[in-house]
Amino acid sequence: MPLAVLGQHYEAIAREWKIPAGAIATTIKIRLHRTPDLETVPKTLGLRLISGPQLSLSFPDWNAIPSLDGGPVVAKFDASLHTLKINDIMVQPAVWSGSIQPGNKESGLFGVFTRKKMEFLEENLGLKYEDFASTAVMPMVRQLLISSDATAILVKRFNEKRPVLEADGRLMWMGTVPWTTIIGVPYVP
Amino acid sequence: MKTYNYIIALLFALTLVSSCSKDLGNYEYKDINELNIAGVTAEYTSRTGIDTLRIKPVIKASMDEADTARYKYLWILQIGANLRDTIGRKLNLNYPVRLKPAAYNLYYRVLDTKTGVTWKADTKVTVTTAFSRGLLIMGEDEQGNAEAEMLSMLKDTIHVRHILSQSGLPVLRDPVSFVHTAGSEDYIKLWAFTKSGSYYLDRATLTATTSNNFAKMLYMSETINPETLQPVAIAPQVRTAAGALGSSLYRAMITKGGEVFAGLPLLSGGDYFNNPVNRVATAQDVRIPAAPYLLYPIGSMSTFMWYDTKNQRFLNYTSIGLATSSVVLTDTPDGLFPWNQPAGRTLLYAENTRNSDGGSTNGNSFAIMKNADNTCLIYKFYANGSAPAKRAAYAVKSIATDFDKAKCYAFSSNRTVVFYTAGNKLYAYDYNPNNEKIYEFPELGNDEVSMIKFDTQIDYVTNSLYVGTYNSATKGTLRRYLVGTNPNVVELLLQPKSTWSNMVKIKDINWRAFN
Repeated sequence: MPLAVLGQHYEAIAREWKIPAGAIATTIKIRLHRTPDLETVPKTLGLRLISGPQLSLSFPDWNAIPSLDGGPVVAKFDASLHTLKINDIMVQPAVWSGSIQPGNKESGLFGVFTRKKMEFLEENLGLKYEDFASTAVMPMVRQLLISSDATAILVKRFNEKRPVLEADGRLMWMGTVPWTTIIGVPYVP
Repeated sequence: MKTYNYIIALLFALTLVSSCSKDLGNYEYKDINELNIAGVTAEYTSRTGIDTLRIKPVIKASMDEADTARYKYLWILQIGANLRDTIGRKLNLNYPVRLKPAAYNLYYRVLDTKTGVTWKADTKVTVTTAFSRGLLIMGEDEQGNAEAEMLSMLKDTIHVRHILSQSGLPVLRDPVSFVHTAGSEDYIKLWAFTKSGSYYLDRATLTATTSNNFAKMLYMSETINPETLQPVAIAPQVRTAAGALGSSLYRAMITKGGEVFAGLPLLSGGDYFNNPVNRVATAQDVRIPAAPYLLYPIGSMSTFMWYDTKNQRFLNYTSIGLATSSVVLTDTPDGLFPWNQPAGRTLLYAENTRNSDGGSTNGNSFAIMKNADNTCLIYKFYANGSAPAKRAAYAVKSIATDFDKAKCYAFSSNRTVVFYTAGNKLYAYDYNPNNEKIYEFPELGNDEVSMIKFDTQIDYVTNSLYVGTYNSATKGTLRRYLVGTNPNVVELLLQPKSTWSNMVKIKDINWRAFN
């Protein structure tokens, strides 16, 4: 995975951190920047703890305990290195009534989830990502309404010859649009 | 050799001893006391909070030495899938019923303590409310306010009064209907439709608050004045005494403001609706005011029609719950009548029946149209599917006095007759072409006729005519008639035990089949 870049994805991190007297821990704060490239590619940032004058690391190495070695076994690794995986990739929300049919066809009420589609819904129907968090906020009857309202707008745009397209060029698809959309197949007017 | 023989003989003797073990079973059977329990029938019906379930079994014992103290009794009611309650420990059951309306298993066990044998008799108890079944009546009280009543018909007929005024709702005006939706348990509602407010009542207690309203059932992306969102019509209607509907999936309603809502409660996760569908695809943003009639075949509703009062045309709504607009119907020059009315023609009335002319198995619908010169036409059509069929058009002859001014109309399903009330008289018009006749009914006297309705809910084959009349002495009276089948005359045959008085001034009646 590509590395996060200082100054672009994160700001400089203080080198020294103090644990106050009487405390047993401190929190290391890292300020991240939400750059557009994080929307598509995740980046990593590694933080390594180094022994200081008063404190040292207790586990410089970590070996798998012989009886507790189920799963992939890493013979040796550096326990002082902590990896942060950073991304701003929008994932499918908890409530999303859409699916893929055999042949990579979009189907269901909402079709396949993409960032562009969520942005389309945010822009045109005044929805937010949080609205799809649970069925308490997004009951089936509301999903039906969104599906038919979004379909109406997509069809209108199509008829006006300014169709709404996904990143791979296919027609954006919602519940009852009259066309079939296949993932990966761009729309050719 | 001898030893050998001795050993063989000894072994032989041993086997003889072991193979002839004795059968220690006891084959002396004694007769014991056997019970025969009679007097527990297969089914009982009780009303919760009203009835006491009394069962008196008759137990015949074969040999109990006349000692009834030897018996222990248990009456066990099955309340839930795994929950049972003992409701009696005596020979007879005397149980004041206070249970949720449902069907329950009841088990009767008699233990003979002397023999240790338990004898049983099982039965079923169906618990209803006092209001589970009967005729729902909407009308006006003496102050002119909307009032609902019920003729509860469980065992005896009980006249339940003051339903709206004691429901907890505010005073309502302009009564329309009191109707039970039937259908799946999760979506059943008991609606009181009035033009000043439509609310659904608690089905068991008949109480309501103003938050039991239609606006709360809507998930829309447009704004509609909530005052106009009072439903005045609902589909599908009940079509049998047991409460069957013409569709187990769909539900449609029209509001006072002329909006048409339709949906599938199962798909919507409840009795909810999205945007109204009284519009056409070419003008999706324009809602069209609908006449308060949902037209569909009573026997089976998969689509429905409605009437556009702005452009004077019948529109069709298919794909219930999926389509967001209705479909314009095309007329051919040789059609029996137009779906899209010529200038000056408007709709007066429409009704669904079980008339099956022309192969309309699930029932034709009728519409009464009025021309600019006040002459009228009757359209008969099958509001079924994406291409509804026109069955006939009848020009109403001038012998039908005041036909265009009638207050109420009612179409028979079984013959070419439409009843109507005008100028405080009841008429029947036989529209059979070239044999048109008009009838009056002096036997009804001078009482105001407030409602006429042919029954397509309880027993559509018989198609009784219910007539509501009113006078200040006996107040509202409901009578049930049969209309004779002699084609040469239209007679009203009053049915026995089918007259109820002291009612409200009746506007509409509907059948409630279950809770």
